[in-house]
Amino acid sequence: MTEPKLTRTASRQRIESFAYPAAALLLAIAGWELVILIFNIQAYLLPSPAAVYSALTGQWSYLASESVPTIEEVLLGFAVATVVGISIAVAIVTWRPFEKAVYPLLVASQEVPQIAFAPLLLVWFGFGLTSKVIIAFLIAFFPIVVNASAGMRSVPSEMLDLAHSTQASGFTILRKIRFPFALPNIFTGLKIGVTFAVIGAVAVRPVWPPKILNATSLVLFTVLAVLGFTGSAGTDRWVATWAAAGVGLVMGLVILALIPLMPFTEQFARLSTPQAYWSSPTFKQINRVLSLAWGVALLGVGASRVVAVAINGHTTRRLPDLLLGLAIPGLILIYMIKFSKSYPDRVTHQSPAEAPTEAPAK
Amino acid sequence: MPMTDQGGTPSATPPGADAGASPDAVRFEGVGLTYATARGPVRALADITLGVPRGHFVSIVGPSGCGKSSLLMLTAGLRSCTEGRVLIGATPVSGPQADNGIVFQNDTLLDWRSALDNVLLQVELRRLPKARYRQRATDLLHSVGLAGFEHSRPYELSGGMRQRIAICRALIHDPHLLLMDEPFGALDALTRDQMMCDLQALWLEQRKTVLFVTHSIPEAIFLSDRVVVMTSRPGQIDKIIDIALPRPRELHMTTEPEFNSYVSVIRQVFERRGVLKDEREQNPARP
Repeated sequence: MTEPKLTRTASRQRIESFAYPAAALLLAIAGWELVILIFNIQAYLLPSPAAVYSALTGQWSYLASESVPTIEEVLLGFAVATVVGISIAVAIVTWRPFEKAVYPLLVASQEVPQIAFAPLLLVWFGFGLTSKVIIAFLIAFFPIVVNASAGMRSVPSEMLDLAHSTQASGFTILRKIRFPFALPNIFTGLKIGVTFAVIGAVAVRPVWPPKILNATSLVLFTVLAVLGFTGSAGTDRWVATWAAAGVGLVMGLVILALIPLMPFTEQFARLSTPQAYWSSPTFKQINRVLSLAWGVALLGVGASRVVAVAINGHTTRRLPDLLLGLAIPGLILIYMIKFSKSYPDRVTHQSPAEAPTEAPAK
Repeated sequence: MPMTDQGGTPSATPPGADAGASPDAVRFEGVGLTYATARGPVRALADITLGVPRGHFVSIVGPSGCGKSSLLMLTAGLRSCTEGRVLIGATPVSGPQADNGIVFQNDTLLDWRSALDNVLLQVELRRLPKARYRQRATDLLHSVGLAGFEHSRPYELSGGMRQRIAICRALIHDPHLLLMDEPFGALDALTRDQMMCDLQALWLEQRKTVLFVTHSIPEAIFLSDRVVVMTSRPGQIDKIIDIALPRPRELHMTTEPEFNSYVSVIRQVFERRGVLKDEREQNPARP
């Protein structure tokens, strides 16, 4: 009597475990499309799911052929990181002088985001396979070392006492007890490591000239990811509290600082504007103003979130937090999207002599 | 150390004890253990002199932190004493031993191994021929009531069953000395009683020398030929009591006057040393 009921529940659970995430994904895509329609967001800021899909199908063979080297780099870097990472972890756990000598250096080396080495590696090893495998390895191997050594250390002391009481060698204890004991942790490390390997391999792809916005956000994301994955609980809390504010401030500053060299919107605008207009004063002016506005807006978003965090420590009321952390940044961003759309039109209409400059959108 | 009747000499010979040339399987000679800590040296054991006669079941009972577990670690060669020496037979202990088996409070089984393979871990770690011990491992599991569970994983079994596997693992290579560190400490009261009876049956059959650490007074009396009472700071032997109850002992004996007189002798040691206080002493103002 109970068995058919049980199996029905099991199959239902299987369906649910598939149906719920699928529904959530569909909802998210629908929401994405809807937001673009409602706010009329430009494709250079956020392409619609439909556009992404058509790009995917339209350039399928190109994307597929370009994925092969990336996957190669990721897998190679990850494989090297796995072998080297686990070997170092074994050495750390079994040989105390090695631990004392190497572990602090290892942790210290992680304070520098490895993405920062990317340009150096490109100079040393060129745009070929090597530089990308190395950066994928550099990023992926640390979480593997940390998790594998933590796992091998987590063997209960009584278990180790038992093992030592049998006169077993260190290697036998490693093989029969420490290593199998650490497998769950080792796989956690590998899981994080493979994600990092992808970040590493993609970060060094020779997209030249690199887009300021992409490069900045990639570096920020990597720093936050490394902090979040490898930091202590305290670091985690710190990241959770300040990440949103910090990202706004840093992006804003980078955008403002680079306006004299290259306004970030100009990089996108060039994609959709014939080269003949790139040096026109109107084109330059539009992008300088837009970049300035975006830089100030992002600084404003960051500052608003800083205030939100600061207030949050002093009051339990949710309203200021919601207002400063969500509503004001949201409004700023919506205004900026509208402004980016209308401003170029206004400028080009005012000076009909240079009407063909349709920057930055199509 | 006043008011002790300490002594390593074997007294009343229990049934089945070997009358060999060297009567003691284990001897502690003036053993002391001092730890270096950040706040200066801490004396964990002081002046332990004790003999464990071959084939005897000897319990060490005492409060937490009296160093009774350290004594086992010294015997197993997993720690070194800072004063005196520990002898196994006639040889001073200087490292892990070939001829002992250890059972801890936690069963320390490996979850990815079956019951049988957990028992055989001892054989593998000691680099003994595994094939030769397979049958013995099965027999041991049967003898502790685990027939049919040879291929179960530890997480499928109860605490008592897991501890039985750990005992089999300690016995698989047929050691002469069995070291047990509060082996039933993590079990519920009913299971403890059952384990006590089963361990006695196993001991009567195999006649190993057992050094058994516990903080349960009835458990120590029920199982032992001799109970060593220890007190703390520093850990030292206060009293050694030979238990003359006939074997096999049965659970109902634990409520009989003879058994209880042993309990009260041990209690008195703890009361005298302030380990146990009854209500009157705690509240002297009360009538």
